[in-house]
Amino acid sequence: MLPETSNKQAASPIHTFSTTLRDAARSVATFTLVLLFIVVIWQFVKALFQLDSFTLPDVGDILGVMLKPLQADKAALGILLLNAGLFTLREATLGFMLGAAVGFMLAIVFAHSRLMQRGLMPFVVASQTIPILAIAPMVVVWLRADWLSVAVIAAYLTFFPVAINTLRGLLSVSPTALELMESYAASRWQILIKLRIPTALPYIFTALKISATASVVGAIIGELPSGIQDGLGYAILNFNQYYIQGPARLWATNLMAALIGLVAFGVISLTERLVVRWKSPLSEAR
Amino acid sequence: MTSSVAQDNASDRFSATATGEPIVSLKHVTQRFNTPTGQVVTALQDVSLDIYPGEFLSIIGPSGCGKSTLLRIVADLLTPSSGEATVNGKPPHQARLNRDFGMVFQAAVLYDWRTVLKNIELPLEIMKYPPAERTERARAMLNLVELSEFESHYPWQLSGGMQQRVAIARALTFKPPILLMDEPFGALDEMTRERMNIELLKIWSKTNTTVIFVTHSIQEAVYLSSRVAVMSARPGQIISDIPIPLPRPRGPETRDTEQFFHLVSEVRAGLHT
Amino acid sequence: MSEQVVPLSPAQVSEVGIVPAEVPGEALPAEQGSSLDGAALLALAAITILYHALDAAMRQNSPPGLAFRDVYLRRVLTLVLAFVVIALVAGQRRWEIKSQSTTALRRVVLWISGGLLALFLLYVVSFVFLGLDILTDSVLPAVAEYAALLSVMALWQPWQRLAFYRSLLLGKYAPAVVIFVSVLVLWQFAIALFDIKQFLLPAPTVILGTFFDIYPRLVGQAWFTLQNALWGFAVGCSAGLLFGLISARFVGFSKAMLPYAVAANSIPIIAFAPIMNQWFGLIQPASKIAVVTVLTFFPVMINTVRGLSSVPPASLELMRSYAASEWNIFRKLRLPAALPYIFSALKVATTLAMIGAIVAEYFGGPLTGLGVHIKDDAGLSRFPVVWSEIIIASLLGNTFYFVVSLVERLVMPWNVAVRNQGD
Repeated sequence: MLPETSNKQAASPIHTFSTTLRDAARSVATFTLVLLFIVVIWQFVKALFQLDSFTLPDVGDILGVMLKPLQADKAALGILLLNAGLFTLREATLGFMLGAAVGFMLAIVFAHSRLMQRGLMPFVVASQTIPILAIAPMVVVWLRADWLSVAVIAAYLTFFPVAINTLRGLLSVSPTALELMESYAASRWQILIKLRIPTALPYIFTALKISATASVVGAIIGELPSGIQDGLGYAILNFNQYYIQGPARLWATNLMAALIGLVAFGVISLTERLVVRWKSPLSEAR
Repeated sequence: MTSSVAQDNASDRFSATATGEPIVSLKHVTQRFNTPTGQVVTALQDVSLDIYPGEFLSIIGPSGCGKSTLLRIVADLLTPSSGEATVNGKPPHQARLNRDFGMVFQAAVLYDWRTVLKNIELPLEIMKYPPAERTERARAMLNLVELSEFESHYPWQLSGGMQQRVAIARALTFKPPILLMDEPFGALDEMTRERMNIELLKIWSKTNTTVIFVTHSIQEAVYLSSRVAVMSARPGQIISDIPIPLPRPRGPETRDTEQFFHLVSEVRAGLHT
Repeated sequence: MSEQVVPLSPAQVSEVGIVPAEVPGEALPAEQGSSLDGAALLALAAITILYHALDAAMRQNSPPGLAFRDVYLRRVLTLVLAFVVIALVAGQRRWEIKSQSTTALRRVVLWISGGLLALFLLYVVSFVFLGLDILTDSVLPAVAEYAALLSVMALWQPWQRLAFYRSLLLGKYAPAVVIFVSVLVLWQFAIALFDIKQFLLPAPTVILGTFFDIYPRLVGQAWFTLQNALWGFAVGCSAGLLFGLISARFVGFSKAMLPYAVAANSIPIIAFAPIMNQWFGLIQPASKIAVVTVLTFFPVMINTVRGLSSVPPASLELMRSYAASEWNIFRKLRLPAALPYIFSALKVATTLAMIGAIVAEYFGGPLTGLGVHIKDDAGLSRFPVVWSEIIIASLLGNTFYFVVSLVERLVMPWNVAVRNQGD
């Protein structure tokens, strides 16, 4: 039996400030709960299988090692990692913006010129079939080993999903909507601004969420061959080498990397909520 | 599809005033919905309706009057807030478990991954018919809707009208005594719709099915039915019950007769009271 | 993709009520054509390679023979060939049933070439899997190879679609081909003209020369890394699928957990490669497999849940009106409806698996792996070698992707058309 489910779905929820606030509070609460749950599982697994701290350090140890300085009269490890994380996030952000801009431009060009689409699209696709990160060492040589070259690598990972999804979105405009615009004798530019881009926004944000993660991965990997010592990539390599002396440090670094990834993802998701207000809950499936 | 006159030999079903035990019966049915904003909407208000075996009953009314809700109650996809529904002498839930009715929706709802034949076999598979009988029955149904040469096609290869014919074949394949149709031709253009009406009458006359047909087209309702139930706007109530004594077989020329015009006017008048 | 062959838009087609593929004698639809061509080319390549592995003299002396020394690589190649042959035969059969243009002669050709290919496969299997050495030092391997090659051509019949290829080349691929060729030429000339140092950018001819010089070694390294990718893909995808199926059974639970799975997917999992190294050992394949497993798990799980729960309400109501059991609804509705989602995740996972297996080796790994060599050669500025390594990696990655999309086409023949309509 289906007690009136179809009717419930048909009605769209009304977003007000208070409901948004309540939603936010609820998701923070569940997030804390899930986090607590993970910690409990972690400790339970450690206790159950009697794992030593080399295999799985204590959660308390990981947090504790963040508070202690690496060397005497230096900043605590947590501060150090936070700085490294922010450095990596800066590279990732720059790369993300660069890549998203390139991807967006490509999509707009492709949407308007079939010739350009046919000429360049195969290479855009092919660029992703080669293991991108294999290029990282060479980019570093081309652009000299500074954080800009890392940003370029991050951009390389970012532009593809944005280009593909934006193009798909720009072309997903319904013929009738297009005919309506043409009946107003709207210019190509007006059609782009008033119809195509708004239609494409949900697609674009789907891509941006993928790209946000990819840019962080790109930044961390890009740091490996470039020898930059200020970011998380170097910290991972470093603490990996001295794992025996302090396994919790590597774990703390990875926790920071995970956090950076989540932050990047969260920022984009939040922006999406603020920008795409007309999206019905049913279109979530895409 | 070119034959213009439906071969109708079910002479005893011409009579508009059927007698005997009703096959579907609604008694004082009321349906209310809670909206997300906390209001209560009454979709159906104290509806009573009897449908007799072999009838072709159309339910017509303005959009949002609860026609589909009524059909969904008969199909056990909704439970009425109050009142009682009986289908084939049982509560709707039992009737659904016994597979006493077939349903046709506004969209054909064919499964993309099944060929036409396999789509028609779907209910038989679920009802655990042996494979040989499944295919045999499905082929017979395909023959009935005149789509035999399309049995190994996928739904996307068919036109809208053909898809809807497949959906009708699928609903009839397990020979249910009742056929529930929820605006089945609503999405088709006028020409296709008139052709499908002829097809449906042909199928109805060849089988022994009772049809409950929801529509918002007066012409269609009059052309097809032996009886038309007219509903009012929300809250939905049955405001008139008009027998359609047009002679059968009915063909395209039926639409040009004076009697047809007269009945259409009568139904329209019923709608506007 | 198919505008050359299908002259009507889907809306027009449904209006007229005819089917483009129905006209007898017409060429294959472009989508099907391209996958058939790919399968045939892959089969030709596999047969040629397996001949070099089979023939006693070639085995020892020829570069391809040396490149494909590894017994597991040969076995996988044999399996791929078997699969591609099945795909070829099945694709041809399906098309011929549809177009109803099969002549008696054509059917005989189909049977004979299918039989010859089966015999060739049996011969290869006897050598590769059973270790039998039947007349490999005679002319038999060469004869078998040519028979198999001819059989593939007979199945493929590329000459039947010359017009289609020409229109594809001139219409659709012309701009891309022009750009590709001119970039290569410009690249070559720019290096000579501006005297660009080789450690900055090697000339295309140099890269290609290097590639052919060292490819026996590259194939070995790439195969080592690909094995990690394949195992990780298998474990990660089946775990993701299983988890998705189980959690989708509890709709409320999976809906609530989906945002967390999506968020977890945004964690840079590659960064955990060092921890996997610590857990499973730096030079153990298990550490790389673990990275790939985690990397492929989330996309597959997320898409499985999404696919299973994105069934149109009307389709569900239809099932309910039949009083279908939950199991029936799952088997006959939810699972087939989820397949497109699952396969699109699997295709994403092939790329992820390849990248994951290579990058995991950046954090250290055995010297037999491709990733380790890419990192080291780049560090030593041996760029022609690095480019060759990139070429082999993308060749294998693309083959992997292609095989998965071929499986997709075999499993869901209905989907190609549906997807075309959507585009």
